[in-house]
Amino acid sequence: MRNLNVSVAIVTVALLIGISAASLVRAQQKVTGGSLTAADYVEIQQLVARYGYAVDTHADNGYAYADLFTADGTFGNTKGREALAELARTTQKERGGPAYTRHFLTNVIIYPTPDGARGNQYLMALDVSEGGKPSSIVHGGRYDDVYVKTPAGWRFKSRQLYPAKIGVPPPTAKLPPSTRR
Amino acid sequence: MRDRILAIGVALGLCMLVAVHAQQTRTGGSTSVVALTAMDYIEIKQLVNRYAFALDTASRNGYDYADLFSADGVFDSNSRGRVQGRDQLAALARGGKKGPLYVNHYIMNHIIEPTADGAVGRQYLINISHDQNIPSVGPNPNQWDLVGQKRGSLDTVGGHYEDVYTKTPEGWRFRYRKLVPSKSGPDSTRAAMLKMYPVKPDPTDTRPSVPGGLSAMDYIEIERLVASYGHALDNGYGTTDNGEAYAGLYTSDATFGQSTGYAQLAALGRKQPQGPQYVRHYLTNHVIEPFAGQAIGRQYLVVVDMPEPEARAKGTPGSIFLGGHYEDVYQKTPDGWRIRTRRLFRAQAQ
Repeated sequence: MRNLNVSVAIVTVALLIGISAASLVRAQQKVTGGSLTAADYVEIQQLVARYGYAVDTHADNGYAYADLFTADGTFGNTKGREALAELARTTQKERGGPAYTRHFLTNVIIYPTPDGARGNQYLMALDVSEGGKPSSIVHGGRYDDVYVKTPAGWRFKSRQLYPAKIGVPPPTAKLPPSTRR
Repeated sequence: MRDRILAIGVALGLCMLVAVHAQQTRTGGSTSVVALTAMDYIEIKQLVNRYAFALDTASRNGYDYADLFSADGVFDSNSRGRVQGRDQLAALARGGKKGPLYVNHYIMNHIIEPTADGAVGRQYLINISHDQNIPSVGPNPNQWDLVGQKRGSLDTVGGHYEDVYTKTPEGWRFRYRKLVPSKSGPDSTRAAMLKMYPVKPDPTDTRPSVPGGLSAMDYIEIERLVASYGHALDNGYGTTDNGEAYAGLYTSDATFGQSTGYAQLAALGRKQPQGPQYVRHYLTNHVIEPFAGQAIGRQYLVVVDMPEPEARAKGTPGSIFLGGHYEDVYQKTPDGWRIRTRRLFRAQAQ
């Protein structure tokens, strides 16, 4: 009987060790509170990296693109899943496909906010050579994003592209014509 | 008897641990995919970033390139077919234009999907050739006047890579890498998209796994520091003054080129063409390494003069102004990681 009690105690202790180890592992996932974890940053980076493929391939009839956004997500003035899928389908309508590459994104920055995250990237939209034609730079700009974490993962809540535009040179920066090269 | 019950009890406890662990590593929907940690994603991205440097420089006689592949690793392309074996891969890397300052492969949009025994991934590639002999513009050129000068061009090589990665005792390596040229239109032989999976939390997210190493968070902050470079310099993060934004990327005693310290770096930033909607400095292929308790890094730069909306409407293309690579030293300050020194090396073939 004494042996049995000791055995029960040992089993209980062993179980408790297992349970507390499990909760410790869980607690580790929440240490950073309001800020973003490394996993959050990587998941948002992956969301942003998918953008080019989603719009260029027209995958899933445009819904692969739409599903990068929240249900009420916006790209510029385009809002909602159907409208976003339509936008993806009709962007480069005759050219999109699984091996088509046009939207090159880099300079990916992500910041935590109280509601989720914000971020920016640079776009260079390229016409990559096909059939011996030269490649060319079509346009570029800067994306401005708001991300939220949904049950399915991080998504674009809003995304806006600001096309590249140079500012006004400061008057003092302009040299008189005679001193130019 | 007691020993046996003890063993059963411990075994039960361990089973629970394993079960919890497994629950975290198996991701929703599929039982065969093993989730990756943030550090796995970072190491796979670093592998791809090293690829560009190793291929363009053919460093260590091409073996830096070959050693990015597993022992049985394959590089596959339409032009060469399958290349397998360390010596064969090194020979591939030695071919064509090379040199310690040569930059050509600009890789972006890296997506990674975990699998049962590693990962698969894709990136976009564009090859850019930079002019070798850029005419002198005098000692103090007005940088605004130089905007639009054409000093390089896109190559005809561009498309996407399709990879299989494997984790070896030495780290993540390419088991298979294929270059698929960009091509318009439907193609039923190609899978359209990779899947996204949750990233597995891990102690190395905030703590380096070895003393003097970098945590995942360190890598992420250094990535963001360098990714901020264009935003700060070109548009002051969408504001009207880029000087303070630019100088804020550096430590207070930092040096870039001829400029040292906050005031000089802010002045350097303000001299550059800018505007709240301006984009010009595109950086990619960022390699980061721990170094003496701090970190060093290098990355490719291409400065692109984009057509403005009116010019674009008329079909005017953008042009390449400058290309090369930066070599950096980073320092962790109480405010986060900052650039301690930065040097620009213009692209040059040997």
